[in-house]
Amino acid sequence: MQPEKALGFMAFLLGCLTVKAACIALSVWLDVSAPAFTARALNAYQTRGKRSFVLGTINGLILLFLFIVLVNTQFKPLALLGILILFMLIALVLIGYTIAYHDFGSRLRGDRDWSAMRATITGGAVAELMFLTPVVGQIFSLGVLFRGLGAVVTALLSRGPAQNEVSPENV
Amino acid sequence: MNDTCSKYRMSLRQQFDAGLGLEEVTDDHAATCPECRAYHEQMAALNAAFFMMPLEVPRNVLVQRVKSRLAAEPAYANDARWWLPAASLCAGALLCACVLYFAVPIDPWAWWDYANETSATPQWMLGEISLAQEIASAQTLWHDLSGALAPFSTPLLWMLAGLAALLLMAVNGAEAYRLRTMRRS
Repeated sequence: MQPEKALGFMAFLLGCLTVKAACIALSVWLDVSAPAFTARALNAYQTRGKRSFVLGTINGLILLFLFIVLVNTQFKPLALLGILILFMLIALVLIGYTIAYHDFGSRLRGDRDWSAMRATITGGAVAELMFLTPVVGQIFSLGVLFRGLGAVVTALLSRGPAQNEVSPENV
Repeated sequence: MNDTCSKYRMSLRQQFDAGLGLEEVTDDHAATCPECRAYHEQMAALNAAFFMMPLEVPRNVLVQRVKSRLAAEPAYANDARWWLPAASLCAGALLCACVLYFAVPIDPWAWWDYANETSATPQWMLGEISLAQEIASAQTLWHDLSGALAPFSTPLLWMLAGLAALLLMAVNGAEAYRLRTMRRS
Protein backbone atom coordinates (compact mmCIF):
# COMPACT_ATOMS: atom_id res chain seq x y z
CA MET A 1 0.00 0.00 0.00
CA GLN A 2 1.28 3.40 -0.89
CA PRO A 3 1.90 5.48 2.24
CA GLU A 4 -0.19 8.42 1.04
CA LYS A 5 -3.14 6.10 0.33
CA ALA A 6 -2.87 4.48 3.75
CA LEU A 7 -2.66 7.87 5.39
CA GLY A 8 -5.62 9.05 3.37
CA PHE A 9 -7.65 6.03 4.40
CA MET A 10 -6.76 6.60 8.04
CA ALA A 11 -7.58 10.29 7.71
CA PHE A 12 -10.97 9.39 6.27
CA LEU A 13 -11.77 7.08 9.18
CA LEU A 14 -10.49 9.67 11.65
CA GLY A 15 -12.59 12.33 9.96
CA CYS A 16 -15.70 10.17 10.21
CA LEU A 17 -15.03 9.63 13.89
CA THR A 18 -14.55 13.38 14.36
CA VAL A 19 -17.85 14.17 12.66
CA LYS A 20 -19.69 11.65 14.84
CA ALA A 21 -18.02 12.97 17.98
CA ALA A 22 -18.93 16.51 16.97
CA CYS A 23 -22.58 15.48 16.52
CA ILE A 24 -22.60 13.98 20.02
CA ALA A 25 -20.91 17.06 21.48
CA LEU A 26 -23.46 19.30 19.79
CA SER A 27 -26.18 17.13 21.25
CA VAL A 28 -24.86 17.99 24.71
CA TRP A 29 -24.63 21.65 23.68
CA LEU A 30 -28.25 21.65 22.52
CA ASP A 31 -29.36 20.24 25.85
CA VAL A 32 -27.53 23.04 27.67
CA SER A 33 -28.40 25.93 25.37
CA ALA A 34 -32.03 25.00 24.63
CA PRO A 35 -33.20 22.70 27.43
CA ALA A 36 -36.91 23.37 26.96
CA PHE A 37 -36.77 22.68 23.24
CA THR A 38 -34.77 19.49 23.81
CA ALA A 39 -37.16 18.30 26.50
CA ARG A 40 -40.20 18.97 24.31
CA ALA A 41 -38.68 17.15 21.35
CA LEU A 42 -37.56 14.25 23.55
CA ASN A 43 -41.02 14.06 25.07
CA ALA A 44 -42.57 13.85 21.59
CA TYR A 45 -39.97 11.31 20.47
CA GLN A 46 -40.59 9.03 23.43
CA THR A 47 -44.33 9.34 24.00
CA ARG A 48 -45.62 9.86 20.45
CA GLY A 49 -43.20 7.77 18.41
CA LYS A 50 -45.55 6.64 15.62
CA ARG A 51 -47.10 10.08 15.21
CA SER A 52 -43.63 11.63 15.11
CA PHE A 53 -42.54 9.13 12.47
CA VAL A 54 -45.55 9.90 10.25
CA LEU A 55 -45.14 13.65 10.73
CA GLY A 56 -41.42 13.42 10.00
CA THR A 57 -41.96 11.33 6.87
CA ILE A 58 -44.57 13.75 5.49
CA ASN A 59 -42.44 16.80 6.26
CA GLY A 60 -39.22 15.25 4.99
CA LEU A 61 -40.60 14.01 1.68
CA ILE A 62 -42.62 17.13 0.92
CA LEU A 63 -39.72 19.47 1.75
CA LEU A 64 -37.42 17.37 -0.44
CA PHE A 65 -39.92 17.51 -3.28
CA LEU A 66 -40.28 21.27 -2.91
CA PHE A 67 -36.50 21.63 -2.92
CA ILE A 68 -36.20 19.68 -6.19
CA VAL A 69 -38.99 21.64 -7.86
CA LEU A 70 -37.78 25.04 -6.70
CA VAL A 71 -34.14 24.46 -7.62
CA ASN A 72 -35.12 23.40 -11.12
CA THR A 73 -36.96 26.61 -11.82
CA GLN A 74 -35.50 29.27 -14.10
CA PHE A 75 -36.44 32.01 -11.62
CA LYS A 76 -33.33 32.33 -9.45
CA PRO A 77 -34.90 33.67 -6.22
CA LEU A 78 -37.08 30.58 -6.10
CA ALA A 79 -33.99 28.42 -6.57
CA LEU A 80 -32.43 30.23 -3.62
CA LEU A 81 -35.56 29.45 -1.61
CA GLY A 82 -35.12 25.80 -2.57
CA ILE A 83 -31.55 25.82 -1.26
CA LEU A 84 -32.76 27.41 1.98
CA ILE A 85 -35.35 24.66 2.31
CA LEU A 86 -32.62 22.06 1.83
CA PHE A 87 -30.43 23.63 4.53
CA MET A 88 -33.39 23.83 6.90
CA LEU A 89 -34.22 20.19 6.24
CA ILE A 90 -30.63 19.08 6.92
CA ALA A 91 -30.54 21.10 10.15
CA LEU A 92 -33.84 19.60 11.33
CA VAL A 93 -32.68 16.08 10.49
CA LEU A 94 -29.40 16.52 12.37
CA ILE A 95 -31.23 17.94 15.39
CA GLY A 96 -33.56 14.95 15.16
CA TYR A 97 -30.55 12.65 15.43
CA THR A 98 -29.35 14.51 18.54
CA ILE A 99 -32.79 13.97 20.08
CA ALA A 100 -32.44 10.28 19.28
CA TYR A 101 -29.09 10.31 21.14
CA HIS A 102 -30.91 11.64 24.20
CA ASP A 103 -33.51 8.91 23.88
CA PHE A 104 -30.88 6.19 23.60
CA GLY A 105 -29.09 7.67 26.59
CA SER A 106 -32.18 7.76 28.77
CA ARG A 107 -33.01 4.16 27.83
CA LEU A 108 -29.48 3.01 28.61
CA ARG A 109 -29.43 4.93 31.87
CA GLY A 110 -32.40 3.10 33.33
CA ASP A 111 -32.24 3.49 37.10
CA ARG A 112 -28.53 4.29 37.16
CA ASP A 113 -27.56 7.69 38.48
CA TRP A 114 -25.93 9.02 35.32
CA SER A 115 -25.73 12.73 34.60
CA ALA A 116 -27.50 14.09 31.52
CA MET A 117 -24.17 14.60 29.75
CA ARG A 118 -22.98 11.07 30.40
CA ALA A 119 -26.31 9.63 29.26
CA THR A 120 -26.24 11.68 26.05
CA ILE A 121 -22.64 10.77 25.21
CA THR A 122 -23.23 7.09 25.90
CA GLY A 123 -26.49 7.12 23.96
CA GLY A 124 -24.89 8.87 21.01
CA ALA A 125 -21.94 6.49 20.88
CA VAL A 126 -24.18 3.42 21.07
CA ALA A 127 -26.59 4.81 18.45
CA GLU A 128 -23.78 5.57 16.02
CA LEU A 129 -22.30 2.11 16.51
CA MET A 130 -25.72 0.61 15.81
CA PHE A 131 -26.04 2.66 12.63
CA LEU A 132 -22.80 1.05 11.39
CA THR A 133 -24.41 -2.39 11.27
CA PRO A 134 -24.64 -3.37 7.59
CA VAL A 135 -28.09 -2.95 5.99
CA VAL A 136 -30.07 -3.27 9.23
CA GLY A 137 -28.24 -0.33 10.77
CA GLN A 138 -28.94 1.88 7.78
CA ILE A 139 -32.65 0.97 7.73
CA PHE A 140 -32.81 1.65 11.45
CA SER A 141 -31.01 4.94 10.93
CA LEU A 142 -33.63 5.93 8.33
CA GLY A 143 -36.40 5.19 10.82
CA VAL A 144 -34.65 7.24 13.50
CA LEU A 145 -34.19 10.06 10.97
CA PHE A 146 -37.91 10.39 10.23
CA ARG A 147 -38.96 9.88 13.84
CA GLY A 148 -36.45 12.46 15.06
CA LEU A 149 -37.52 14.90 12.35
CA GLY A 150 -41.14 14.50 13.41
CA ALA A 151 -40.23 15.05 17.05
CA VAL A 152 -38.35 18.24 16.20
CA VAL A 153 -41.28 19.51 14.10
CA THR A 154 -43.63 18.72 16.99
CA ALA A 155 -41.38 20.61 19.40
CA LEU A 156 -41.37 23.62 17.06
CA LEU A 157 -45.13 23.53 16.66
CA SER A 158 -45.73 23.25 20.40
CA ARG A 159 -43.96 26.48 21.27
CA GLY A 160 -45.83 28.28 24.00
CA PRO A 161 -47.05 31.88 23.98
CA ALA A 162 -44.26 34.39 24.52
CA GLN A 163 -46.18 36.38 27.15
CA ASN A 164 -46.06 33.40 29.51
CA GLU A 165 -42.35 33.01 29.19
CA VAL A 166 -40.43 32.84 32.47
CA SER A 167 -38.04 35.73 32.87
CA PRO A 168 -36.09 37.13 35.81
CA GLU A 169 -38.58 40.01 35.98
CA ASN A 170 -41.69 37.91 36.54
CA VAL A 171 -40.21 35.12 38.65
CA MET B 1 -36.76 41.48 73.11
CA ASN B 2 -33.97 44.01 72.72
CA ASP B 3 -31.24 44.55 70.17
CA THR B 4 -28.97 41.98 71.78
CA CYS B 5 -31.73 39.36 71.51
CA SER B 6 -32.18 40.16 67.83
CA LYS B 7 -28.47 39.82 67.13
CA TYR B 8 -28.27 36.61 69.12
CA ARG B 9 -31.22 35.07 67.29
CA MET B 10 -29.83 36.18 63.97
CA SER B 11 -26.54 34.44 64.73
CA LEU B 12 -28.47 31.32 65.72
CA ARG B 13 -30.39 31.34 62.45
CA GLN B 14 -27.20 31.80 60.44
CA GLN B 15 -25.64 28.82 62.20
CA PHE B 16 -28.82 26.83 61.60
CA ASP B 17 -28.81 27.68 57.90
CA ALA B 18 -25.14 26.74 57.64
CA GLY B 19 -25.91 23.33 59.14
CA LEU B 20 -23.74 23.83 62.20
CA GLY B 21 -24.42 22.01 65.45
CA LEU B 22 -26.28 24.43 67.71
CA GLU B 23 -25.68 22.32 70.78
CA GLU B 24 -22.06 23.35 70.83
CA VAL B 25 -22.86 27.04 70.75
CA THR B 26 -22.33 28.70 74.04
CA ASP B 27 -23.31 32.26 74.59
CA ASP B 28 -23.66 34.26 77.73
CA HIS B 29 -26.82 35.89 76.48
CA ALA B 30 -28.76 32.61 76.47
CA ALA B 31 -27.89 32.07 80.11
CA THR B 32 -29.36 35.39 81.11
CA CYS B 33 -32.40 35.60 78.75
CA PRO B 34 -35.05 32.87 79.21
CA GLU B 35 -36.81 33.71 75.92
CA CYS B 36 -33.64 33.39 73.92
CA ARG B 37 -32.73 30.19 75.74
CA ALA B 38 -36.12 28.74 74.76
CA TYR B 39 -35.54 29.92 71.19
CA HIS B 40 -32.10 28.29 71.22
CA GLU B 41 -33.58 25.03 72.46
CA GLN B 42 -36.23 25.12 69.74
CA MET B 43 -33.65 25.66 67.05
CA ALA B 44 -31.41 22.95 68.50
CA ALA B 45 -34.32 20.49 68.54
CA LEU B 46 -35.20 21.35 64.96
CA ASN B 47 -31.57 20.99 63.94
CA ALA B 48 -31.29 17.59 65.62
CA ALA B 49 -34.49 16.46 63.88
CA PHE B 50 -33.07 17.51 60.51
CA PHE B 51 -29.86 15.63 61.20
CA MET B 52 -31.87 12.49 61.92
CA MET B 53 -33.59 12.62 58.54
CA PRO B 54 -31.87 10.74 55.69
CA LEU B 55 -30.35 12.99 53.03
CA GLU B 56 -32.01 12.37 49.65
CA VAL B 57 -30.21 13.74 46.61
CA PRO B 58 -32.51 14.01 43.57
CA ARG B 59 -31.47 11.45 41.00
CA ASN B 60 -30.69 12.42 37.43
CA VAL B 61 -33.59 10.30 36.21
CA LEU B 62 -35.91 12.40 38.35
CA VAL B 63 -34.35 15.61 37.03
CA GLN B 64 -34.88 14.44 33.45
CA ARG B 65 -38.50 13.46 34.22
CA VAL B 66 -39.23 16.84 35.78
CA LYS B 67 -37.67 18.62 32.81
CA SER B 68 -39.79 16.56 30.47
CA ARG B 69 -42.97 17.39 32.40
CA LEU B 70 -42.04 21.06 32.54
CA ALA B 71 -41.52 21.02 28.80
CA ALA B 72 -45.27 20.56 28.37
CA GLU B 73 -45.94 23.74 30.33
CA PRO B 74 -46.48 26.90 28.28
CA ALA B 75 -44.54 29.01 30.77
CA TYR B 76 -41.40 26.99 30.09
CA ALA B 77 -42.00 26.34 26.45
CA ASN B 78 -39.98 28.96 24.59
CA ASP B 79 -36.30 29.15 24.03
CA ALA B 80 -35.52 31.10 20.94
CA ARG B 81 -31.90 30.10 20.44
CA TRP B 82 -32.54 26.47 19.50
CA TRP B 83 -31.56 27.24 15.90
CA LEU B 84 -28.00 28.20 16.83
CA PRO B 85 -26.84 24.65 17.57
CA ALA B 86 -28.95 23.46 14.63
CA ALA B 87 -27.31 25.83 12.19
CA SER B 88 -23.84 25.10 13.60
CA LEU B 89 -24.45 21.38 13.34
CA CYS B 90 -25.67 21.70 9.79
CA ALA B 91 -22.83 23.94 8.66
CA GLY B 92 -20.18 21.89 10.49
CA ALA B 93 -21.38 18.58 9.11
CA LEU B 94 -21.58 19.91 5.55
CA LEU B 95 -18.13 21.46 5.80
CA CYS B 96 -16.57 18.30 7.25
CA ALA B 97 -18.27 16.14 4.64
CA CYS B 98 -17.07 18.33 1.77
CA VAL B 99 -13.52 18.58 3.11
CA LEU B 100 -13.30 14.84 3.71
CA TYR B 101 -14.82 13.92 0.40
CA PHE B 102 -12.39 15.97 -1.62
CA ALA B 103 -9.34 15.69 0.64
CA VAL B 104 -9.13 11.91 0.85
CA PRO B 105 -7.82 10.19 -2.26
CA ILE B 106 -10.33 7.32 -2.13
CA ASP B 107 -13.80 7.52 -3.57
CA PRO B 108 -16.17 6.19 -0.87
CA TRP B 109 -18.79 5.31 -3.49
CA ALA B 110 -16.38 2.85 -5.09
CA TRP B 111 -15.23 1.09 -1.92
CA TRP B 112 -17.50 -1.90 -2.34
CA ASP B 113 -16.38 -2.51 -5.93
CA TYR B 114 -12.72 -2.06 -5.05
CA ALA B 115 -12.98 -4.36 -2.04
CA ASN B 116 -14.40 -7.15 -4.21
CA GLU B 117 -11.69 -7.04 -6.83
CA THR B 118 -9.56 -10.18 -7.03
CA SER B 119 -6.43 -8.70 -8.57
CA ALA B 120 -3.19 -8.94 -6.65
CA THR B 121 -2.89 -5.20 -6.37
CA PRO B 122 -6.22 -3.85 -5.14
CA GLN B 123 -7.53 -1.29 -7.54
CA TRP B 124 -8.79 0.94 -4.75
CA MET B 125 -5.19 1.63 -3.80
CA LEU B 126 -4.71 3.20 -7.19
CA GLY B 127 -8.01 5.06 -7.37
CA GLU B 128 -7.77 8.81 -7.32
CA ILE B 129 -10.41 11.46 -6.90
CA SER B 130 -10.46 14.17 -9.49
CA LEU B 131 -12.37 17.28 -8.50
CA ALA B 132 -13.46 17.86 -12.09
CA GLN B 133 -14.71 14.28 -12.42
CA GLU B 134 -16.61 14.51 -9.15
CA ILE B 135 -18.29 17.74 -10.18
CA ALA B 136 -19.16 16.20 -13.53
CA SER B 137 -20.64 13.12 -11.87
CA ALA B 138 -22.60 15.28 -9.45
CA GLN B 139 -23.95 17.27 -12.40
CA THR B 140 -24.92 14.05 -14.18
CA LEU B 141 -26.68 12.82 -11.06
CA TRP B 142 -28.53 16.10 -10.72
CA HIS B 143 -29.39 16.05 -14.42
CA ASP B 144 -30.86 12.56 -14.05
CA LEU B 145 -32.83 13.67 -11.00
CA SER B 146 -34.15 16.69 -12.84
CA GLY B 147 -34.92 14.50 -15.84
CA ALA B 148 -37.36 12.59 -13.69
CA LEU B 149 -39.46 15.76 -13.59
CA ALA B 150 -39.33 16.24 -17.36
CA PRO B 151 -42.47 14.20 -18.22
CA PHE B 152 -44.54 16.61 -16.14
CA SER B 153 -45.60 19.85 -17.75
CA THR B 154 -44.68 23.04 -15.92
CA PRO B 155 -48.26 23.94 -14.85
CA LEU B 156 -48.80 20.42 -13.57
CA LEU B 157 -45.51 20.53 -11.68
CA TRP B 158 -46.36 23.85 -10.08
CA MET B 159 -49.81 22.58 -9.20
CA LEU B 160 -48.23 19.53 -7.56
CA ALA B 161 -45.78 21.75 -5.68
CA GLY B 162 -48.61 23.99 -4.53
CA LEU B 163 -50.64 21.01 -3.39
CA ALA B 164 -47.61 19.64 -1.55
CA ALA B 165 -47.08 22.96 0.23
CA LEU B 166 -50.77 23.12 1.13
CA LEU B 167 -50.64 19.55 2.44
CA LEU B 168 -47.58 20.43 4.50
CA MET B 169 -49.29 23.47 5.99
CA ALA B 170 -52.48 21.52 6.66
CA VAL B 171 -50.69 18.64 8.39
CA ASN B 172 -48.50 20.90 10.50
CA GLY B 173 -51.38 23.26 11.26
CA ALA B 174 -53.57 20.39 12.40
CA GLU B 175 -50.76 19.08 14.59
CA ALA B 176 -50.17 22.54 16.09
CA TYR B 177 -53.91 22.93 16.78
CA ARG B 178 -54.05 19.49 18.38
CA LEU B 179 -51.06 20.27 20.59
CA ARG B 180 -52.54 23.58 21.76
CA THR B 181 -55.99 22.15 22.50
CA MET B 182 -54.39 19.20 24.31
CA ARG B 183 -52.38 21.61 26.44
CA ARG B 184 -55.44 23.74 27.29
CA SER B 185 -57.44 20.66 28.33
